[in-house]
Formats: sequence, C-alpha cells, structure tokens
Amino acid sequence: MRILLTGGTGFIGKNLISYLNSKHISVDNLSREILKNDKKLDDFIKLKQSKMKQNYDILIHLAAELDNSSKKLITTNVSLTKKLLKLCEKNKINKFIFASSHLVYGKTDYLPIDEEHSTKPKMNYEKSKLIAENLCKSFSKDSNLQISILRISSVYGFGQNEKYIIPRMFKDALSKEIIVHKYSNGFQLMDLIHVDDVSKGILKFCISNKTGIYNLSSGIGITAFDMAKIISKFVKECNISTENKKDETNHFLYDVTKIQQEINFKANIKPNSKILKSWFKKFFELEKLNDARNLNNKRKQ
Amino acid sequence: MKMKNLIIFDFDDTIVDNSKLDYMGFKIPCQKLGIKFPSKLKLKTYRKKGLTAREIIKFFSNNEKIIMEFLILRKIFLKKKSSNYLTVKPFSNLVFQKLIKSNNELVICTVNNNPKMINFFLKVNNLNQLFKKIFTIKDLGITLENNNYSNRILIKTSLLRLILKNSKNQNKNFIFIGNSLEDYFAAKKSKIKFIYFQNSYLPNPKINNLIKITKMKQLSNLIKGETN
Repeated sequence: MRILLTGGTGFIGKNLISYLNSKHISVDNLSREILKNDKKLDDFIKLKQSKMKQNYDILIHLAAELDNSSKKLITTNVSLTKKLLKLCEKNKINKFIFASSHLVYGKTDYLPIDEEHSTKPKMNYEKSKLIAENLCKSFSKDSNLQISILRISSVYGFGQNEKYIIPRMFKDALSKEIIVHKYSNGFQLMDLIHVDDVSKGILKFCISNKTGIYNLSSGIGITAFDMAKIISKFVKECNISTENKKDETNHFLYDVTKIQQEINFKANIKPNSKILKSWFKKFFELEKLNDARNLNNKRKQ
Repeated sequence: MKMKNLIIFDFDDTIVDNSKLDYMGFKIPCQKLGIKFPSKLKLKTYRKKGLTAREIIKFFSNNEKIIMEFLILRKIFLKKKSSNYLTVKPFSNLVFQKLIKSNNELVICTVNNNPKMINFFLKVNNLNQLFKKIFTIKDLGITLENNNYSNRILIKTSLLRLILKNSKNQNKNFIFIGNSLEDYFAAKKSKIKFIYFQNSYLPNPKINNLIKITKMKQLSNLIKGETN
C-alpha cells in the first residue's frame, strides 16, 4: 500500500506517519512548498511513481489552514481539497481520505450526534471543512474515486499544543490551581479521541472499501470538570476553581455506531487517570527542561 | 391492523404533582438557614412566571453565600426526600390502565436524573407494571450537572430520539405528553406528536394549534380520536 499524505507535520500527521511506518507502510508527505507549486507537485508525483513503478493507492488529506482570523482560510482550504481531488483523478489514485472536523455540526440538537445531524458551522474553519466535504461528495458522484470523509472529534495526546484543554490543565496543575470554565448550561461535555486511535481509525479506512461520512471519535463523554478532577490528583494540594461564563457552551458526544459496524473501529484509549498521568509525567519533565533552558539563557545574557 | 401507540410521558409535573415537593424544597432549607421563604400561593405565582429556585430565593436573601448554601441544601433535600412529597395526578392510574387495554404502550422520558427515586415512586403508587421503560439522562451515558432551559431541550430531544431508535422497525405511532415549552420543542425536533398538559405549575407556552389537556381523564378519549 502506497500512501500520499498532506499535513504530515501537524499533530495528527506526525503521529500517523510514525504509526503507519511501524506497520511497514510507506508514506510520502506533500509539504507546503510542494503543494503551493503545481509544477513541483506534478514533478514530485511523477518522480515518486516512476521510482515505485506503480501509482499511489491512497491520498490522505489532513492539511488545513487553522487560523480563523485569516480572510483566505475558506478559499485556501477548499481550493487545496479541489486540487488534491483532481490530482487523484489525474494520477489514478483510487482512494481519497478527507480529514474533516466534528465542528461542521455546529450547535448540538441532540446527543449522541450521529452523521445525520444537521450541519450549521459557525466559524470559517468549520465552514471550509463543510464546503470541502460537499466538494468531495459531488466529486465522488462524477468519478470512480473512493472518498471517505472523517469527522474527527477533539484529538488529544502527548505533543499537543498548550492551547488545548488537557495541556492547559496540566500547566494549571503545576501552579496548583486548575481553572475550569462554567457556562450558563454547566461544564462542557466533551468527546475526546486519542491521537493513536485517530491513526488506527485512518488505517482502518485505508484497508476498507467503505465510502461516505463517518464520525471518528471515542463516543465517550467527559465534562471539563471531571477532567480537572482527574488531573488535580496528579499534584499535591491542587485546587479546582471555576470561572463563570455568561454564555452557553456546546455539548459534544458522538454516535460511533456507523464506524463500529461498518469499519469495525472502536477507540481503545480512554482519557482516564492512567493515560493522563503518564502524559502528565512527560509534560512535567519537559516543563522542567524548558525552565532550566530559560534560566541558562538568562544567565548567559 | 390498528397501529400501536407508544405514549411517552414526561414525569415531573405531568404524571406527578410536584407542588408540595417544590414548596418543601424551599421551606426546609430556608428554616435551616433562618431565612424567610415564599408561601404556597406566592411560589405558584413565581413558578407561573417561569422563575428558577435561584431567582426566587433572591427575593428573600441577597447574600450570595446564603443563596449558594440554600441551593446546595435544596439539592440534597430534593434528592433524599423527593418521593415523600410527590403525589400522582388524579385518575392517572385508571387512565394508564385504560390506555394499555386499548393497545398502547407507555414509557417515561424525563430530565430527572434519579431513576431510583422514580422507580420507587412508581412502585409505591402501583404504577411500576404499567410503564415499559423509564428513559433518563443515564440512558445517554452522560452527566450534565446543570439542567437549564437549553440543556433540558437537549436531553429531552436526545431521549426522544433514543426512544425512536429503540423502536425502529416496530411500526408505531409516537405521542409525547409533556408540560413545558422544552417538551414541545423536543417533540418538534424529533418529529413526534405532542400533547400539552396544561394543568401545570409552569408558564403556559403561547403556541398556536397546540393539542391541550387539562386533566389526565381527557387523555384516553383524545388519544382514541388522534389515532382513529
């Protein structure tokens, strides 16, 4: 199986490459530089395919502009998807796996959210994902390309940026006080999926011939407060304080029946104390290392 | 062959009369805290206006700490003593039996997160055999610590969808009997027929073409008419 990938330097992408490599599956990442230039892109694929003496089998499209403040976000994300769909057709790549987002659903009407739930995205990023999904759907009608659209929920795991909830809580825990937002409709209910489970799920789609839209999530709900309770136990005398918010939050919990039944995928890793504690230990070591580096730099100055 | 009806009942203030429990839920905590509390009549007026317990207690104390203590004591009281102060709405048992005899199935769908209490209540009132299942938030496998307006709609809609899903391929009519605007919206979102029980403690929704009942007795005739 020969796989072409976009977004290989991102959080999910990096993990996916090492997971696929551990299964002896070869993956080539299309960097931003190559993607920007049509000629470079054509040359890259031609060269690789002639070396392999075969075509790529699958293109996994993870890359996306994330910055909601960017005016070009929608056009960038949609036009990139369009370019890649055409690239598959031109180079006889049979399968296209598109990483969409759970945020395309917008305001939650009911729980658990299944694939039939209405889509009312609010922010540009979500909108761009939904437009790209529609592009994929119309492309699959007019071509033989097998397209799977994965609505991936909130991903967590070691190496994640500190702006996300768990690393942010880790950082709070180190200063002995975890701050949890309490909205007018309570603490947010979240449905998280571990980055390793995302990789496993994507591989299942590489092997399967199923097409269509799927929720890729754990299907397990946990509130931000319950998460804080778990993390607070990792540090002695760590308090949890709530910050009241006047607005409402959106609760998330996904129906994973379709992916379980059709793809035989079930997320194995739960955000429990054991998983979080081992990540917290690594986080703590890294923080110590960073502090020591900063101190050293200051001394040098 | 006549199609079977699955009649879904809301619990609080639809099957049961909660007014005494609500009143005691003010009286007992307020007496402990040494603050005044609303009379039964005043409380009914507040509830008709749609005020929450927090909003009501603010008429009697403006001390945020006491308000918080009141809310905690009220929560504990409601959890422990609920079934002592609840009463079944008049003629309910008779109506439920009649409905079952005429080829209907009954279930309960509630945002109340205390299925143990509901089961106990149904048992002591000889109603436990009449309901096929009680659907609570626990059936969704989640906990939401706040039952505000939008959460109630979300939970009710989710439960109604779960009921529909569980009854898939069973060729049934679905009818939901509730007492609030939240119930109405949940039924509408789930595309289930809604009957509004107006003999309620809550504000009356101003919605046109709502099918209404004011007494449990009216239900069996109404359902016969609805499905004929």
